[in-house]
Amino acid sequence: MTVSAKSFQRWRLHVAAEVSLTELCRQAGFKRATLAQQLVRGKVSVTAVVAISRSLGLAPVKELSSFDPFGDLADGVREPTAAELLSQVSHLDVMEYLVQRSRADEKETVLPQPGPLPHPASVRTWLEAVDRGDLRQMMANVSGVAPQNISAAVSANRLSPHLAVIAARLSEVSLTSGLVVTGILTPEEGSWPNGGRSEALLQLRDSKLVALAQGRLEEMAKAVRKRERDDERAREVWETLG
Amino acid sequence: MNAEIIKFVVLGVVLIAALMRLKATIQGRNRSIFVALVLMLVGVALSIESIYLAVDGALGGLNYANLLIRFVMFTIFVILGVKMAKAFESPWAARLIVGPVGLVVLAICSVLAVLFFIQSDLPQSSVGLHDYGSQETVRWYGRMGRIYPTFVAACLIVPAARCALSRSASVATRVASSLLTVGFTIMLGHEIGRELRLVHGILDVILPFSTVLLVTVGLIMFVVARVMGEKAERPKALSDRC
Repeated sequence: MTVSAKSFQRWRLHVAAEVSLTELCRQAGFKRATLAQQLVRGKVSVTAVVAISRSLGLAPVKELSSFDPFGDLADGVREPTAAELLSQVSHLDVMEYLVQRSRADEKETVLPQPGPLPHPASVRTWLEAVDRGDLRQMMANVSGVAPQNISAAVSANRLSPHLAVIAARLSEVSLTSGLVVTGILTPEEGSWPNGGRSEALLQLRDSKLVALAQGRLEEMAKAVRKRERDDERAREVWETLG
Repeated sequence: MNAEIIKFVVLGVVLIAALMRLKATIQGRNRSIFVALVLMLVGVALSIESIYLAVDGALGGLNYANLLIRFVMFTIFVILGVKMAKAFESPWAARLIVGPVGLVVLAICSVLAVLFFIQSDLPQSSVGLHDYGSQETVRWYGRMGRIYPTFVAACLIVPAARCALSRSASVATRVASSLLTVGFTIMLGHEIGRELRLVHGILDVILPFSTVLLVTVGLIMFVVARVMGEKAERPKALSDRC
């Protein structure tokens, strides 16, 4: 999702009036041609705004809030919930921690060390974690994006910034959460506490940890079954005709 | 472009496609496809005037070679229909092509084609029966020869297109399926155009022979897909990208 070129230009003159667009792009490590093209089309990507904010030493969340679709972003920043934090631990990391905790001695505390965020299914697990019923349908209603397009994006572990914020707004969680799990913002920029995921895992009772791993395993089973079936189908074609 | 040149080029491509499968066929792989390609070779060759006149001369000069082409076509499309419906895992296409409906259509067309052939007055060899196009029975004879192949092609358009669009198949498989999709669509379009008297002159050569060409190149691409598929490692279904 994007912000309008007009509002982008206004913002740019406000935050860095004396810096040329070329210079701005160079500092932000953003392709000048890409930005120029976006300006011509009248829509500038959120990624560009975030990159430029970072290079100017500004907080992306605060800067994004000066754009229309994200007006309430800065005011809507909260602590992420435990469910959100857990959703950002990958399947394998959940299981690895389960194994580690099971094998640890009575007195020993194993510190979970979840891998990078976002993980390969970040968007889906986050939406499931914040969903209070019919979230995707409501996202479609509010944004006007067709439900099947939302599903396709989620399957590819993508979600436009606009939809990410809408989902957070509808679920009444921190408005930056969706931008964190899609990798637009770093956890720090989105006010996710350092080591928050680790802490959330640590706080889980054994039974809850097992249940979490069970849910993730079921998802994995489904995905692996589908992949195997797809492979079989693809094989059948050239086996029969090749 | 000269019609004869087109036919010779297509003849060459079909020959290459058949030769490419020679070794695998001797080893027992997909023999029926090889048979279909050899029959295609016969069909294309008999559409070339000099070859037709020679062959038909040997058969008595009464255009029995043309009747032969009809049955060559029927056999080709039974083989391609069965194999492709199986390859694309389309049980409904298989049921239509060699189920009761398909077989009844095929039987009726075969009987009627022979009857119309006998009813026609064809005293001299004429490639494509062009000299006798004014006879009503000859026109119906031609129609009977085209109904079943066109029916099979129409049944295969959707299954082939689905394979062409499926993301899990390899590039070669998808290219091959796209070629079949386009080829069968052209064939269906050509028949409809012919019945509506929209197709004349050189188009009457270009359209059917482009179908032959596309299907043949598609079958070549399936061999490529098989060779590449056998070489490639079976993709790991289990990964951290779930």
